[in-house]
Amino acid sequence: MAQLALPRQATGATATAPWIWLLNAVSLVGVMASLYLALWWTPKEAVEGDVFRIFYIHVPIAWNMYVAFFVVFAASILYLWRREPIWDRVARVSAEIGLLFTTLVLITGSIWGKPVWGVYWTWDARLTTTLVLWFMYLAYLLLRSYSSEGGQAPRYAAVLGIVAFVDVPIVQYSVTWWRTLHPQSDILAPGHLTGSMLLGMFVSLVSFTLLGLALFVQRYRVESMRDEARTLRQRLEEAEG
Amino acid sequence: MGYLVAAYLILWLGIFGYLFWMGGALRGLRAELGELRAALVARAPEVPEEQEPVAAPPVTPPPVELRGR
Amino acid sequence: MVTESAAPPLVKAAKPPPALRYFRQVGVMIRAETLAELRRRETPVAMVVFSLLVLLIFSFAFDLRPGAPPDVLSGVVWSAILFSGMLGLGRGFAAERERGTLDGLLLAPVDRSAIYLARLVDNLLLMLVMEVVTLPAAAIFFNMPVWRPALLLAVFLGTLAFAIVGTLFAVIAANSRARDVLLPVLLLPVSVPIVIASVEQTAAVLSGPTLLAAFPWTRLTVGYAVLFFIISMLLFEHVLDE
Repeated sequence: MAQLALPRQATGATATAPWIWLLNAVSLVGVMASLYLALWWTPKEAVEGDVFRIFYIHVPIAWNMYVAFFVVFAASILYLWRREPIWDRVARVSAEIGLLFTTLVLITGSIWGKPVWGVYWTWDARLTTTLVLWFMYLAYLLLRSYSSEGGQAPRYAAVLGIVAFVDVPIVQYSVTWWRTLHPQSDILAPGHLTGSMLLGMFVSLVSFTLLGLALFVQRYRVESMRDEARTLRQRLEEAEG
Repeated sequence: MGYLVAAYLILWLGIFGYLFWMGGALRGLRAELGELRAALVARAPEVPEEQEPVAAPPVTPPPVELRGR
Repeated sequence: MVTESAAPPLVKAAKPPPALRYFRQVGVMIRAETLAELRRRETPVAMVVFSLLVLLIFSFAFDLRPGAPPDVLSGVVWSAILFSGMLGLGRGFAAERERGTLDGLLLAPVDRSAIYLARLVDNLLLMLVMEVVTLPAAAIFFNMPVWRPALLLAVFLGTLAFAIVGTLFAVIAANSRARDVLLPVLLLPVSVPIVIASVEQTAAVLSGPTLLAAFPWTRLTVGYAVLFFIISMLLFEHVLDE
């Protein structure tokens, strides 16, 4: 019977590293600062008034959504190339975070749309593309959860991750062109951002990116520990069997 | 104005809810890992390994390609 | 046992060039799979019946009559084609697993991308066969001028592009637990550009006989097909590793 070797990290690997505490703290401070700026410091927008302030959270979350998708793409390529489990873990964590952000983008965008357009949803180019993106993230996660055990799931998911990401610009282009062919009366036009608004947006962008990173790190740790637990359970079963 | 509140509320509920859920998962996993490690130690002496524990089964070798080029 | 770096056996006739051998492999696989599929008749028949039923249901859903606007008709026909196509894609690999031919193929010294190519041709032919019945049916039901070359070209290109991505995803979905439901979930979001482009092209042709107005969409479809053909050929081996 194979000797049971405990991995070196068996002691205290789950303690939270200092840099993680720092990241969490900085992103928390940053987010609170951006909240203050967005809700009080920046001037009221000329056309839309206070409702426009949703923009300060909507845009950074949308940015995070695209970053997460890119990470899924890059990690998928790395996984197929190197076949190291770490890349698969990065991909699936990023996909889950990305789905969360996409959902929030759709919801905040929809809430913003109601007072501005009068309706919760219009099939304009950006909203439609985001919805397709949502479905792609969802497909990725469903593929993973519906895969039969056997180690193929990471490979399949990686293929989907690559194909979906390459498709995103094409979807964007085709939906945008479709919309220009069949225009609707209301087109999403956030208007110009002036001086102080730009600062507010910039702070929001930076702090939400950090927040996204903090969420990713946290979720990654959960997955990493889950994988480790599974490995240990397997070894335990081998020992008993 | 109510829309502004609603949007921010949903956003923060979403993010903090997620964080909260992850914190709970981490706690549970810490406990589980502690138990598993203890159980393993009880069965075999601790032997330090060189590489990081591989989470998935060993990498399958690339497909055998027999192209007579 | 197959070995990795075996020298070619000495006793052999002059070998044809690698490219020719590749296509010969593809050809053999196509003949085997496609003929088996068509001879069994289950899949093509099911696809045809399903597409006709979709036309029927949509005519109720939208109260379509012979004078309906080309945009709507185009959408209805493409819905029928795509839904029925997914049915065929999903069935293909499942049937092959049942026959156990896939394992045989994997043991043979066949380039993985050749399997993809054969599968692609197989799926494409299945969909084209289905369309041979669906298009005339739509022409009759909705008084659509189907016999324009531009329309046939648009349908062919859209089907090709759809089959290119669909063949890749069909293998992935076939190996999962919720095989039938998963394929649409995987395939449809990625196919959005094709759906839009094909519907627009067909609608344009139904309004006027040539594709000129809709040419950018044709370009998009062709570009999509080429891009994802290359990607699928490259990625297919990762999907078949076993």
